[in-house]
Amino acid sequence: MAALIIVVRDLKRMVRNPVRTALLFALPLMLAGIFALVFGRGATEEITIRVLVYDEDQGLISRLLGGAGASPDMDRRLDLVPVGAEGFEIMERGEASALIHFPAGFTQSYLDGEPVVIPIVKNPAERFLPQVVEEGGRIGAEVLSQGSRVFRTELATIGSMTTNSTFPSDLAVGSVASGVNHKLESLERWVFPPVINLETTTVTPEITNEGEGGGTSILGFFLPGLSMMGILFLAQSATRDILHDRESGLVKHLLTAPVSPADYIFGKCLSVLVVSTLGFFFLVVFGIAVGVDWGPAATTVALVLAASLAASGALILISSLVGTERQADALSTIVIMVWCLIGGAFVPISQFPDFLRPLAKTTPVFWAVDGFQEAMQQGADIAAVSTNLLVLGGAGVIFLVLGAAALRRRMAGGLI
Amino acid sequence: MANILKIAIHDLRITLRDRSAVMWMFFLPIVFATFFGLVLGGPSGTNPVDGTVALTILDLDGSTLSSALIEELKDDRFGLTFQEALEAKASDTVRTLVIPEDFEASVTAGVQTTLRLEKEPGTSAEAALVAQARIVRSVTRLIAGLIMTELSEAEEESAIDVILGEPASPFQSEKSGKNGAVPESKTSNFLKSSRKARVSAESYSPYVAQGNPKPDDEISKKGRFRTGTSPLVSIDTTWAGERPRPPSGFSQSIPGNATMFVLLVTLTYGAASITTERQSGLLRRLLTSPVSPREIVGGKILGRFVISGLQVSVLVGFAALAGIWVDLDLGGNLLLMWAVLLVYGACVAPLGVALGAWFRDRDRAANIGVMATMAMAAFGGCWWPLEVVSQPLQKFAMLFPTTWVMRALHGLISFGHGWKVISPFVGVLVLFGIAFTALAMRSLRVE
Repeated sequence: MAALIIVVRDLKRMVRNPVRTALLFALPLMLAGIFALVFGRGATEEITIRVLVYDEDQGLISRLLGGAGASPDMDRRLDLVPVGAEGFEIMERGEASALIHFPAGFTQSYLDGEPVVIPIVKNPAERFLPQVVEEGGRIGAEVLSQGSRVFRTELATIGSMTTNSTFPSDLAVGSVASGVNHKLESLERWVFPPVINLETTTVTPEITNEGEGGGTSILGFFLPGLSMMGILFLAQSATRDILHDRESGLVKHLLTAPVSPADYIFGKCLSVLVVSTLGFFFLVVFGIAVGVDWGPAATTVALVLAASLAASGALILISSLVGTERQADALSTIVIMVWCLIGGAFVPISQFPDFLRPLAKTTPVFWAVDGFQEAMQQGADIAAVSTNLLVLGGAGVIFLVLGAAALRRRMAGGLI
Repeated sequence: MANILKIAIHDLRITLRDRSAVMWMFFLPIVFATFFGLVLGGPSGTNPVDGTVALTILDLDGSTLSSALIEELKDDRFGLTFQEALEAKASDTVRTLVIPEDFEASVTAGVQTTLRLEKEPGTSAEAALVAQARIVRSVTRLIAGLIMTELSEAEEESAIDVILGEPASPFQSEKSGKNGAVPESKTSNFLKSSRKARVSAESYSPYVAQGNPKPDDEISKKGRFRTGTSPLVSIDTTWAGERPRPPSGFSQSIPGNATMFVLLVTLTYGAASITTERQSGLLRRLLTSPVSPREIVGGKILGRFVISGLQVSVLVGFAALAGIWVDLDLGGNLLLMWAVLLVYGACVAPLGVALGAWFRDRDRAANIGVMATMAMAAFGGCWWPLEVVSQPLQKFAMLFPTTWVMRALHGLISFGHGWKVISPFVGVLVLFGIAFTALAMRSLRVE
């Protein structure tokens, strides 16, 4: 009974200070919001690649290639900016993703069948977009190379026409046109449209329960990890009370009342667990409100309970091992941040270097995030995430028992 | 000035006594920078910048043409592994190219067929993009090989027709199928009578002839459609700036985390201590000593700057040591990097004071400080390069000092530039600093 009174008292304190309580939840919510804003579907569609085109050649082919971005499909994504030699200075200032340079004599060399090189200067402060330009350029180079092979005769004739000082005869022009036309007819079934198409998909395992699971949005992808971080910080805040009570002398006063040390410790542990669990459910409800599909409800509830138990147990154990509130703050913050980092709260485990991946499994954050992702992406039921539940629940109980025992011993020894 | 300095040094002493503050100042930035540096340095197994991209092939067709495609892929710097049709996917599979069952039949009949590139969830988008582009290149070469084969056949037939006295119409025959169906193509015939066609293709393409010296073996069958690896047009890529080699993941993680944690400490511990001192009446009591209100505010601003200065010095020192230990190249000018971060520390120090003056509760000030830091770090490009965000957000980012310090640091680290090029960015930081100082002087009134 005394333990329940302690729980109710702690919850009332949270309700009485709603701004402070709201701020505890604000961080994971804000982080999830930023991720959604930056990487959400609409946002990524607005990314534009700024590419400078320095056409020193001013020939037929280079002008054709320089205007490739004018097509309606590419126009929205590709911002092709014609520049002169000053383009190199613009690149030095980092104001574009890449510069494509068509050197003087490019068109003539190409028509003559001589090897030609297109230099591309990339922005070293960017990682992704210059790579897009380079790979696009390589595809273009491949198409030009193969086009040169197919239309070699015609291109060579055009090349010789452009170098002659006199206008080509009608017969010569007609011969080239006829040759190109015949070959285009022959190419039709191969390239209009291309006979081999490439489709890119992200593997999403089959969803067994209709309407449940169904893949994740960007917000859904990050929310489990960020929620876990939020709950660990919430548990940190709740366990801080234990040390605060001691430092303020509240524990001594309490023990003069009909409250045993065991009641107090049980009550505080229960309080931390209840606060963490309620907090986690709040974040789940927030996720649902903004369109995140957490997967089957039973799995989500089980994971929330297990993850909250693990978070509460870990933070209680930490607070039982330190002497002061400040020490607890320092140690628990390190543990929380390192767990979140290597547990995959911020970056998917698949992006980790090989040596870090096994370390991820030593953290409750990994087991929680992994379980939630299974439920979200595959609609996993409780049986499918039983390992996650066992690890989280088991670790939580062990942490909690060890932490409570250490607190009891410290209390008996007069340290609390 | 002596009073301002005394107050600043005192603040530094108090902060260094707080273990939690010390951890946020020195330990966590190093842990974060190392972790994200490793992660951004390229996912394990794939490093698109260096050239090798992991790709698993699931060839459901098992035909000559699918083998030819695989040969083309081998030329495109893929780390290929193979999965059998009924075999379970290997655990380390990152992306799979599925060649459909009817691949050769469809292609030779001129019916569009689709290769499927399946990416595993959460794998590198960058590597997937590179893989996609390289597959398209290989497909382009394969189609060109098919076209060349057909053209050479047409030429052969045309020559025979001329000898036999029949009209030469090599391309019109393709369009004579009934009900719009494409007739069995020359390429299909070619597949059935491989030797004749191979000789024909080889005689047309010097690449094929070079690559396939034995006409009867399986390799040369696959090579019939291949075009070789010496393209007429090639791409030569270089990096802008003065760096001899492209920057690693650490060139993003070190400046990004240094910027974020300097701001974090200033806006949390810096702000919270001001709130506490205001609420406890400490600042008011200071006025009983021979110190003016302006000196107190100046001392508090300088205190935040001294703390961030020490933090910056330790972090840059660590980066210098790391450079020696693990051959980490940060552009060579650590002294300038240190100077830029010091200017940035001076710029955000008054913001910490202003934030502390706006709240009555220490925890509330610290919480708002954390959130403000996270927002400025994310939008300013500390967590990811700004290239990956939309244009409106890139413009929005210019409102934050984090954006400008990151531009200056990238100028030094990524481009290898000197002071002259980055000075405009540092100038903007100075302007931010002046504005924040005015805000702090106005917000923190000691009476």
